[in-house]
Amino acid sequence: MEKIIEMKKYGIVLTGREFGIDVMKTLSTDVSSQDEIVLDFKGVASLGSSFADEVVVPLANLKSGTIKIKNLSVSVKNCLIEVAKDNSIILKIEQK
Amino acid sequence: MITKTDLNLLSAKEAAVLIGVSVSTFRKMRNAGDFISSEVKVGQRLKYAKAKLLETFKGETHKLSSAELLKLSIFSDGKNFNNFSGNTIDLTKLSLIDPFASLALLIFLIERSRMKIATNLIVDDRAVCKNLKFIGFFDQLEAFAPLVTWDFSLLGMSNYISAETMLPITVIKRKGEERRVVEKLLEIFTQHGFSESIGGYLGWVLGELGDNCLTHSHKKLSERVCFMQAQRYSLGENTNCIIVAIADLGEGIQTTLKTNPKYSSLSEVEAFLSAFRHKFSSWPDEAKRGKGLTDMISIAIGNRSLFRAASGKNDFIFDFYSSKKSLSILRNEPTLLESKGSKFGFILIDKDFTPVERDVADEILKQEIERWKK
Repeated sequence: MEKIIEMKKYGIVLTGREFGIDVMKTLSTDVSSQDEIVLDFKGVASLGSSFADEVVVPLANLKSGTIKIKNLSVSVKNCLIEVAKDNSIILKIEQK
Repeated sequence: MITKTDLNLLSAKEAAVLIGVSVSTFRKMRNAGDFISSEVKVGQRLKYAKAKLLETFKGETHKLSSAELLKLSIFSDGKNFNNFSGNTIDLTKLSLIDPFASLALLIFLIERSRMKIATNLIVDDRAVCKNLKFIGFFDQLEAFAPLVTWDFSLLGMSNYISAETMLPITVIKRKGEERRVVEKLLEIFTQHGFSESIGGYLGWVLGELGDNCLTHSHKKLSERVCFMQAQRYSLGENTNCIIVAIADLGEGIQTTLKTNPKYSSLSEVEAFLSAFRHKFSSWPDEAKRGKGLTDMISIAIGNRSLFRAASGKNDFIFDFYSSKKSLSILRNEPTLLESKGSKFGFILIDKDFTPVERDVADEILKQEIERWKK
């Protein structure tokens, strides 16, 4: 089942490793490896790589290192590309 | 006279955000008659014409010459301000002080006060001192540096406002607070006409730096504190930039990196510069840290801008703006107002760009550091 996670729920600025860890704790009670996770970044203005390391990477690793993402601003997209490269995960960017 | 094209009307709250002041400051300014030309009565409510406000306040944007831009510094009588003697600092001679230098001066004075050294500041009611007052510089001294004195009455009582200031000096004591500050800054940023993408990168950089400062600034959680400030400048007809600065009262960039046994034998300079390399961190390798400062380099290279970083005797400019090659690292000697704490000043130019990959940024840094090792 497809599960869309609206990242804006956690703020328009998503930065900070510890904040990422807290968000991931919340998310981990809500998602399972059976879900087809889609991270929706609509309304997110800024993403930091530390936050993404703690949220996007473990979520991708639930699904063999692949994660679907959508509604990316330019800076969010560039941040995610860097994080994906550094952690050997694959981003599937859904077109609008 | 307000024409039809001016009739993009704002509430007092929206107008305060636009010009970068609090609502209470805005009300005081309104009572002093500062907004008469933009006021429009709609029913019983007073509104403000956006175009008129921008005309009045955007016109004051300071145009930095490239020489000034490259310094991220304090200028005194047209020269770069480097040092002073005795226990008195004369701020009346200053002609320009940017966010990096404001925070460098603040950290310097706080550290002196903590070392029980008294300092007297000479102030007057000219623009630089009034600007320092406007950004809350003296408020922070009152809060953190009890041994610094000045004659408050000489600063003047006028409602001076700096339309260039996008974020006055803001204290952050707990992790997470930096996100609230960045959110507020981004709101002001777009109101001032900056592009959303540049705001996105600004949030990325400030979020990483803020998190970094609050992680490393002190062993005791209760003592952790960092300061942020941001100011807008014009680089010519259609080019705006923002200078953001962040500083802490910690042990400094090189000292922190050297707490990792892997880097403990590096020289002070090598440790300082290496802290910006990919995966160089005070944390053990398995923690997979050491990315935030490299991200800042990647963004600065892509933006063809520059930043300045300093702690202790290390004070360097990473110049991607004027350098013919990808990067030139320049050392400032003597250090601007030497203090232990980490200080970062970052210029972001409002234009389309793509950051370079971390690997590329790291290779460029590695080559420059080799040059400094020789």
